[in-house]
Amino acid sequence: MLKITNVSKTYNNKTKACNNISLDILPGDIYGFIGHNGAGKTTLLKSIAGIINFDEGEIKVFGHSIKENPLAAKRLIAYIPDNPDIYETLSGIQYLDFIGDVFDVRKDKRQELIDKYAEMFEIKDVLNNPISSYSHGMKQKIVIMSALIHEPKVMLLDEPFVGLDPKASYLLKEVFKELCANGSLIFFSTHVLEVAEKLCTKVAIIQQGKIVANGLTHEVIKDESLEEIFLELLKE
Amino acid sequence: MTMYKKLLKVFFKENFDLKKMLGKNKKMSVGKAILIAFLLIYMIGAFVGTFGYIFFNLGDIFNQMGAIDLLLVYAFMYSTILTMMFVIFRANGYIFNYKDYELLEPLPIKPRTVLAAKLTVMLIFIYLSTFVFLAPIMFSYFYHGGFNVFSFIIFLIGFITIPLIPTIVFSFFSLLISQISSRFRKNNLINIVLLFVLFLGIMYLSFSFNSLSSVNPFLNQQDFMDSISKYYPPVKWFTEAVATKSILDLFLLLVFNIGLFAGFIYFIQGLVRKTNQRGLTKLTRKNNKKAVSKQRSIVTSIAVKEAKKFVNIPIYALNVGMGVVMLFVLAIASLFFKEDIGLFISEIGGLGFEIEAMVLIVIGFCMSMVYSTAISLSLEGKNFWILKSLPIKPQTVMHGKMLFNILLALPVALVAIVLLSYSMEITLLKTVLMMLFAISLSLLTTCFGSLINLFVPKFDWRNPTQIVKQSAGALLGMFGSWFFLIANGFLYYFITKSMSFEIAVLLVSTFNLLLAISAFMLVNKMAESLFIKFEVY
Repeated sequence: MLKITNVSKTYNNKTKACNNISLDILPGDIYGFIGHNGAGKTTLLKSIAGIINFDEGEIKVFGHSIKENPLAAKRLIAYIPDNPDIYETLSGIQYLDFIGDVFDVRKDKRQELIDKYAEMFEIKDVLNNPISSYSHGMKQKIVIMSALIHEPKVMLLDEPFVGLDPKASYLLKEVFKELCANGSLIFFSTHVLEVAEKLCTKVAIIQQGKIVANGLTHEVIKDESLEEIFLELLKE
Repeated sequence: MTMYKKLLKVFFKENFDLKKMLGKNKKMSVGKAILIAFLLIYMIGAFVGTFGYIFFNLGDIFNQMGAIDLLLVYAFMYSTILTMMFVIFRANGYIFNYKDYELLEPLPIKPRTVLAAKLTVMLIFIYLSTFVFLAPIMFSYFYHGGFNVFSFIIFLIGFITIPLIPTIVFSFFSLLISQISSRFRKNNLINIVLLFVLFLGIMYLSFSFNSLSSVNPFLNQQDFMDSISKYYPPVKWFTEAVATKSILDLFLLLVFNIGLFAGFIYFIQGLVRKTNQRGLTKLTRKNNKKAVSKQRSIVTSIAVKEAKKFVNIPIYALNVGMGVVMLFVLAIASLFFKEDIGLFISEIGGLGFEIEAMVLIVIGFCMSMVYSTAISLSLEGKNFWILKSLPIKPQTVMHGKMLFNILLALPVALVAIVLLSYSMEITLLKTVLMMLFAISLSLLTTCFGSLINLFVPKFDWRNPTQIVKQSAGALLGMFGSWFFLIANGFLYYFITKSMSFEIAVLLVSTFNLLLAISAFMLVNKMAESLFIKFEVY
């Protein structure tokens, strides 16, 4: 599981981006993370992925502390940022190979998964081309594929549906369900409340660095919509 | 005019923001500021001690021969060549195919105003770099030839106007190269090859020009100037205007340069718009060839990634790879022009060292120009999140980058030593020891470069030129390597006073290896603690 305990992060000793956040995300969960711009979503996701340091608290990935044992924790994680800034000087296949090498994915397994997802996301014809020639959506697909080829136990995604065409969005949601059925967990931030409402088994709402609502989706929204709940919380 | 000023203000903030240069964290800024101040003092010292010293002495010699005005020709040439080098790299991306076109084009600003603001910023970069070289020449000229306010003002006017025509000419070269290379699938590689050919061609032409000119500059100043002015009249206008305070020559210089530049701004607008619009409509080519996966070790995989970056960023390849290409050309040429190369090598330093030592200086100088480890971490830029999020030890990342740097410089250096030794008839033992020296220097400069980049990383950049040419890492990497080379020279000099060449090279190599091991251990330790602290937004 992904266990986040009392995590706080301050920028420049002033702005508290995450304020004493605690969350438990279990295998099989599709956990939506909702908040306005600048609420602290990306900061928390980057802290879990080991990209930035946090000041207080603890994050454990299946028992491995991201601070104490980062390599063991990161071997279980795939992180997909909101902006697919990847190595433009490599071709798609070279980038996937780089990630495969890092996660030590066997060559035959790697090829099988690359073929499967390239076919699924309809980018097999451009895998030999440099990433610099890709559109935003293509880059996003390559980042998603790079996450999937090492079959992660924890998938962290920052606004994963931005830039994807409707078919790719649908396929990604199906992949989420397939991964969760196999014991992985998904934790993603989104502004698209309809997606969160329909797709997520659990949601957390963050406001100015604090979790203001959290739990099973149907319990959080009760007989209202997620949009109404979110706006009510913002007013408070 | 108001809009021009507004644009200029924004472009200035983008290009010359001290906060960006020194980092946003206050604590780091003080450390970096001290380091940069130290670096600047070292650079000024090294520069004044070498370039400044040469031109001060040259001025003295010219003055005694009554040919002090020749220094003005040198000033003109340096300004022109530096402008050429800057414009070839920057024009495409700065005035053609610029990244903020989509942002600027929809705004209600005249294209001419945008172009003028962009050219102004580019010229300021040129003035800053040419000033460094022209200041010692100017000092020598007025010190030896006598100071005159009017001549000084004309010199400054020349300083501002000389780069204008090379900017026009080489902007087109820059565009032409990018247009030719864009027609090929491996366009960046073609671009790099064309740039190398252009640079080597210019070097060859300048050598040929010197040897073709039957006029000896030391014997007949006027004839020498005339022979150059025949090809490019502004040289004569500038030198005459400064030397004789000729108003007519100053007028010609101003009208010719400024007139052509104004015309350039006016007529180039259409081309600027066309190239920018073409850049927006790139189509992703489809390829039926099946993408086949390759498995490698992590270190090799990182080194391969570095190699791909190297061959895909022309400014990176040209600056960091220049030493390697020079070594390669020299080594091959030594087989065919044995006597000329021997003479060239022995004349370079003029220090009275034996040929083996001179070969080592040439090899060392070229190898120290390979400074990829001093900038490769910074070149990760916005991609740094990838390495931080992956299960790779920070030291493994550094090892991959080091491996690439070694593979870039060392094999060519070893081949060059073998070929040069064969041409210069150097004994086998000496050749092997020279190879040992090359290995030790390669390891030292590689580890030292990594250490530098860990100290002064810069992830917040828009154009790789900012890292490859203008970052503290690049400057420290290059000048730091020269510092080691100078230290090696002193060590060699003192050892050979009482011992043989063989023992001296062995001891110098051991010295380098010991330093390299220390730097390597420090890199491992520092990478582990610093990686997580590097915040990329």
